[in-house]
Amino acid sequence: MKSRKKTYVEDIDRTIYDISNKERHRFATIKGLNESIIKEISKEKDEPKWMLDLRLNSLEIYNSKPVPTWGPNLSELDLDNIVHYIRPDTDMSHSWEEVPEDIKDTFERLGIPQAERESLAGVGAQYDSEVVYHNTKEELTRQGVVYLDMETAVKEYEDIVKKYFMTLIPPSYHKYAALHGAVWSGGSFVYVPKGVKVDIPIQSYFRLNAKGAGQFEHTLIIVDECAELHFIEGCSAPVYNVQNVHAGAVELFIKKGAKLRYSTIENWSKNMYNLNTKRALVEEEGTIEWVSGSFGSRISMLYPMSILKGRRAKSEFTGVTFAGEGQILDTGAKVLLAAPETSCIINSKSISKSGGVAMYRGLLQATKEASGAKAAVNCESLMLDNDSKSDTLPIMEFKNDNIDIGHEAKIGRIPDESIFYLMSRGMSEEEAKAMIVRGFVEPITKELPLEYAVELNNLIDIELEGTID
Amino acid sequence: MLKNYRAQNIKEYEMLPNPYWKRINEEILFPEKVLDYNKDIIAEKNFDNVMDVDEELCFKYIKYLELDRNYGLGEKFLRFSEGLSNTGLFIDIEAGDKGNRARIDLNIDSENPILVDHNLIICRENSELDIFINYEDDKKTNGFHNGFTKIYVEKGAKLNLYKIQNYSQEIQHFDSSVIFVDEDAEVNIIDVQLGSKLKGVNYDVGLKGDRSFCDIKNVYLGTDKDKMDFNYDINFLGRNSKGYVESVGALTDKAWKVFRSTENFIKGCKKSEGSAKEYVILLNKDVKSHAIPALFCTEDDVIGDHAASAGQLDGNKMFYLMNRGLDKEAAKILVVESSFVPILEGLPEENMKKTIINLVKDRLGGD
Amino acid sequence: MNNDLLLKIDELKVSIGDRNILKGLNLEINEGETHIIMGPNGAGKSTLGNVLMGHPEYKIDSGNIYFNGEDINGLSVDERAKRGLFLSFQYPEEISGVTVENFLRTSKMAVTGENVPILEFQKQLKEKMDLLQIPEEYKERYLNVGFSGGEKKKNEILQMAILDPKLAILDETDSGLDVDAIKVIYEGIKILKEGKKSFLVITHYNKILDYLAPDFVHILVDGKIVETGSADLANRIEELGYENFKK
Repeated sequence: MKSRKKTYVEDIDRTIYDISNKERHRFATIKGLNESIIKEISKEKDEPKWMLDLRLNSLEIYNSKPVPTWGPNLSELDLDNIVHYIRPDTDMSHSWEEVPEDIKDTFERLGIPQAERESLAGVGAQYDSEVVYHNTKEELTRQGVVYLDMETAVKEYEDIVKKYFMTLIPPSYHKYAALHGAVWSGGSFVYVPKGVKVDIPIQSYFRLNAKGAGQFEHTLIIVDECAELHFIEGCSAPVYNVQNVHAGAVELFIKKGAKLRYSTIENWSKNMYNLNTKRALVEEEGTIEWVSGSFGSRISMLYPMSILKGRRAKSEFTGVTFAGEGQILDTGAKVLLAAPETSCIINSKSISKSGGVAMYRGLLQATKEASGAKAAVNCESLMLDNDSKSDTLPIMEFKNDNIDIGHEAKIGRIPDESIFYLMSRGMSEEEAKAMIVRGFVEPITKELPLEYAVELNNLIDIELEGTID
Repeated sequence: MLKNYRAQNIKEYEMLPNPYWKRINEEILFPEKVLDYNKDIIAEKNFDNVMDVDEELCFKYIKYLELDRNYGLGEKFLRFSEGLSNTGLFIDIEAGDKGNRARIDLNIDSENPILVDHNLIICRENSELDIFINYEDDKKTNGFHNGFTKIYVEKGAKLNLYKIQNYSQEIQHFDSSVIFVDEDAEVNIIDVQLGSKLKGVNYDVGLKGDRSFCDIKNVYLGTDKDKMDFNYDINFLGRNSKGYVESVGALTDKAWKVFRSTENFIKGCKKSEGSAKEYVILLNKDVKSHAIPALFCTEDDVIGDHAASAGQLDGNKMFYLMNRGLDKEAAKILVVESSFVPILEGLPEENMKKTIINLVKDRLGGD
Repeated sequence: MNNDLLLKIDELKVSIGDRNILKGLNLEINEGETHIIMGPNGAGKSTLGNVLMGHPEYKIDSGNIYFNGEDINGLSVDERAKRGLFLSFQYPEEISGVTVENFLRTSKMAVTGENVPILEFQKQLKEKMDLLQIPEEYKERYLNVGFSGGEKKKNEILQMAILDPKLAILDETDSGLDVDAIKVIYEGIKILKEGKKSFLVITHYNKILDYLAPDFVHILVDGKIVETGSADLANRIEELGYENFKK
């Protein structure tokens, strides 16, 4: 009979690559990236010894781990020039003329100011958000909130940083976590003291930091008991960089009764491999809310994880992924229900068009301790044409009977009848489709501050242009 | 030719390592030696075209027998049946021939502890066939079953397949079915999996033809330290094809279950529709339940969905029943029964439903 | 009676796939007139509504549709809406994430081609919603999502009131509704039926006659209008059934 390719389903499973196998799995050390370079970075940053040790240990782990094969193909990712990305004295400047036209065009249509455009494109002077940053900081300082770039935090709050840094995402977690540990640079540190409710969203300004900081930035947020914070990472304009790998790490600690909303709009330029790692540890009655929009990059592998460690801890994930031409966006959410009466809600929406691949890959686990846990997962995928691909692969593992778990997923295109309905009210086909798509992603736009929501909708309009037959 | 065919498969089989099933933490061990199986497996039939495999047949049907090695539970299981089968059926229903019916017993006893079957079922154009398969044992023999069935349902034909697996905890049970469904053809399956300490059940369905149809319903029970891995893989190729999977199960004691379903919509299968539903009732704190309902899609003009849920017995239902005087155990059994009944209603004979419900009661009440 | 011809359908033949549905239909509607189309299931009533609105699945095999003297056969759905055609759907679509208000304002701007100031629009919307007894919070709800049958139909009439078409085609607007809901809807339509607005009402239910005085009643059987008359014709159907109108 006709042979066929078996649909080969690989789980998210990083644990099988155990560090103890490093001798057998030893890979060639990345060209140029060696102990002396790491020492140089550390010295440049004037770091304490424990941080240097962490970097060196990470480098060793990085070299011992193979490239994961369960997801999108990463074989084209060329890390040989990694040293080029991270050496502080490397000359990386390029000119405005070299910025691809589609990105310039998008800046234009989103109405991004010229100064910011140049910053986002990695040319010219860094975008001057200093004033905004300092004003925000003053207000926060008044409330006792610590908000610093990561390098400064390592020095000024060494004890706290040392206690938490890369404990939630240890270098052994996976190859790119190890890479991050070795070469991290820049990022944000936030500490919200007990009971403090920060009423304005904090936005990350990692691009203010060291060169290449957008590549391997480390975000460490600790929201102490009963405190609240909304943190916004990234922006919806395309972030262009000649460098093509992003392996940041986000570690979030949510203490008893505390609440953190972590919003991300990611729109890396389409040459980027986005291999970011995000994890939140939530204690008793704490809440983590993820709001996540993935629009950019060539390949993304991004599965924010919530570890619900304390009784009645909660996680809510709202995500939208939009995969266009040439993009493979492999995204999802992971939740570990590890205490009684923990709960989570996952709402994922994906859109694929022009040959883009959108994959939802999720992992939901309930441990023996998770009596009374609840979870509701909903995945919807919209295919805007017949050249695209849309996959849903949720994995659920339960070791407890006293749980209430529901998962639903749907896949399909915009029904012709819906388009007819809207057109019969005067909208063109293009407007009708755009309205339906905007409605589809509404669950995320309504969670964002207005200016982000507006930009997001503009972005969708841009993405949709030219998709109508 | 038959000899060569088998020899080649034995060779391949021997070269393959034992499968390790990561999710249930189990290495699958095959019997060292396959003894003869001396029972007649056909209990009843009303048609003639059932054949024992011989040289001539093997030659005649070779194009139907050769499958991509990725089908079924895995290549080792496929090669094992192809090379070492000790029983099996070739059924070839002629075009237009309707009302065909067969009852098959795949039983294990101390004289026949190892059962390896290799089957081929062809329903030619516009024919109809109903097959009932029972799996029983003498409850004292440490036995092993591996079955591999290749099924072709040609244009306009209809196959109904009913399986009731009621082995004891002494038996390991592996069953793979690969089904190709042509234009306007229809396949309905009800698969009841009650027993066996370690089981793997796999269906690979190719909805090849336009308007092809497949409906698979499954109920299962896991007790003691049962481990089980179910996989339902439906590939939509033809236009307007429809494929449905529905599974309802109950787990108690230390049972460990993995349920996988894959709906694979392949570009070109316009207007196709698929759904997969899984519902598992968890009756004990020591059970383990994994579910992986995947949905893959390269065709936009389809409707695909899946739903999976897991939970304890419905508290309201339990309260209602206990309020009517049932004790907890009795209420529990009744709630499980009521979840199975909608699927068992699809069985063609009322007494089959009753038999199964009694078996479920025995197994749940027996601890 | 006003003599300005608004809609003229000339020997219209329509099919879906290989099924012929309309088999030479003729109809003329003048400005300000109300026409009722009645007929048994499968006669082609809903097809007529869909084909007037330009549903892409229906194929015009021959014949013409003129709206305000213009041949609209080649026009897209939205172009027809802009020219003043409106179809109230028998089964309105649910559009998640789009609020009623947002949708209506977008539509209003699309149909008129003009910017509609938000405050002015909200005032107008409130007025019409009050008229149709739709609670104000409905404007924040997603379009038709989770609406009951009656709410969906009211929402269709609300859209009609806002978009102010020249010809409104109401496809089984009264089906599946209880008497109270029908009353609200038809009272609403009655008030909206002012000036030169024309109606083409598709129904199988002659209760409508209590609210709308039709100028003409047409009986559609097997893809053709087999009889045209006054309101009285609807009552005769009630007594005789459609059988007597079949050839």
